[in-house]
Amino acid sequence: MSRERILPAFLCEFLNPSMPAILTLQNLTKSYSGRLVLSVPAVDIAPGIHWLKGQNGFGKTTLFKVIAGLLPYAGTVLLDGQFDLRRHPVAYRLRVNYGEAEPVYPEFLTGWELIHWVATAKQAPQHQVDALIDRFAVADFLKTPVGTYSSGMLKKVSIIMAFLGNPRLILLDEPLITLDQQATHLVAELIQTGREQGISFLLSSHQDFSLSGLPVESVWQVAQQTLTLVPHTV
Amino acid sequence: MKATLTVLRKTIVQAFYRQNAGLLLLLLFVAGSFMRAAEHIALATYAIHAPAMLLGYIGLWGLYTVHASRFMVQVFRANEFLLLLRLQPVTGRLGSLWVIQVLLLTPVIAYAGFVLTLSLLAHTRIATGMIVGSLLLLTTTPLVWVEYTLLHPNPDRRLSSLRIILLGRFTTPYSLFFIRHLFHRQPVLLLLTKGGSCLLLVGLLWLYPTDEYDIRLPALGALLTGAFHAAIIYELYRFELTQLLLVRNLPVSLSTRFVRYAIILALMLLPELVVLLRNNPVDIDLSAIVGVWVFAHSLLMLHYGLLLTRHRSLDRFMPLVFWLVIGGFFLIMYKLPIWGLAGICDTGAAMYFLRCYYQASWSAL
Repeated sequence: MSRERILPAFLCEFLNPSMPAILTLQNLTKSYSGRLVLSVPAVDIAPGIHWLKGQNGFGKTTLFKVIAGLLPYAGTVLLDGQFDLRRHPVAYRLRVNYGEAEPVYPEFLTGWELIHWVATAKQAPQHQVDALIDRFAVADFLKTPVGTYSSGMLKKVSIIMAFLGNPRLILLDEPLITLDQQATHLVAELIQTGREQGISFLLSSHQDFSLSGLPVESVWQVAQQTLTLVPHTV
Repeated sequence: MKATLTVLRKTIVQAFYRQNAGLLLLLLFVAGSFMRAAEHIALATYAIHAPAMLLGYIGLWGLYTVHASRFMVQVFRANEFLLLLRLQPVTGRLGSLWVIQVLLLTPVIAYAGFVLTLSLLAHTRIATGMIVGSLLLLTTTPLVWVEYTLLHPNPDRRLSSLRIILLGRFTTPYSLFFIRHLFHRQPVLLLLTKGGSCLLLVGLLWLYPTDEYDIRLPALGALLTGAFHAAIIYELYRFELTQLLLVRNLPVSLSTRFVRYAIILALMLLPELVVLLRNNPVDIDLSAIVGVWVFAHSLLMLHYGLLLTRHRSLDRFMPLVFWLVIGGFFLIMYKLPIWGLAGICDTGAAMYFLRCYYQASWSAL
């Protein structure tokens, strides 16, 4: 049995600093109708919490969607140095979850139906589903169609789904927008707890994450159609 | 007023025609394929001399008007910024809404204009009066509904107790997501497609015993059934890429995904299966008639596979469907076995699906 199986991931990282990057992007390009939007020659992102910055329309959401396997791309996207998005589509997607900035779901489905559907696919245990629903206090609304939800409620459903299963990497696109103060704290708490359990996070936000008390390990900038590391003091 | 009209045209008229392109193309396909120009003229000429028939026409125009007006009301409810229209003077506001209503009813007005021309040439005063009167009513009365919506925004929408019980007890399986979407957002397209497809199959199966036909006749029916469903297949493609993109993040193998789409489309074609089995002529054995259904299903799968290869608008997808119908027609007439045809289509569908599923993406055209 490997060390990773018997020790929590954060301990593995501590004991083995040469652990592979949680996410590797190589020669990654993404174009829309022939117009280049992203070009990332080579980037290794270490395990941890990372903040992705960038002006509106610079390609943060596109990058997230590519990493989540939602959009076609050229190049290589590798998780944990072993799961290639193209060659291991099931194993990769089992370990990478995504919470959208502005979730769009079929309005006739209920929040419960969406969560149940994603939970089954991500192999999430029922107690995890119940715990997340309980913590976000959304049980009263979940059995009504999402077309009746406020933007904050939709966001909570999206974040609940992003934490389902046993992911290695969670991508949260603007996780704090439209949420009330209580939910914002809860999201920060979940990220903190998740990190302690070995989950890595890529967060995009226009707000400063260092103010939320999260141990942000690095800051990345999406600009001029590429991704670069920004000097950051923790 | 010009700025108001531009906003309303882009948010209501363009959105309406974009969303209903499939329905309108289906109507054009049905009207264009079964009837020649002379037959259209004969039918309209009969209608202007028979008020009951003309009332049927007006009823259909009314149904279209209800559909278009309902769409306009939904747009006003979904886009609160449009409520700013209330700040305009009543006459200007009603004028703008009337123009939008006329633009939404363009297909009805065009056809009514054709019938009206025949009526004027034939000097049928009652028919002329009925057509002009109905057009005036159809373009003005829905404005009362729209005006009411503008003055009473955000109505308290309560779910019926039966719906609350159903939503609480049952969970929709993924295979039914799209079918629920059709019932919810595209009921007219669904009704017309299923109605047209089932009526065509019933007609062909009743025709079968009247002469020395063989399995090629129902096979041609299956070929047209596939073509009838092109707009629905396009809707499936649009639905998954715009409203259910999350499905691509789920850890599901390509082969399982392919089987799931096969199940969705099999459920979609269940009414046709029932029609085929209930009206099966005595001298066609069960495996052959099931083969006809499997062939229709494989055509739907092939349409979906083709859509994944490259993003196209619906009007660019329809010529592909047309060429498939032409190719299928010759293969059927050359007596290729029905199960063989189904196998060819399913193989093509699987090939396109496995190669292109993750490459497909929606882009505004």
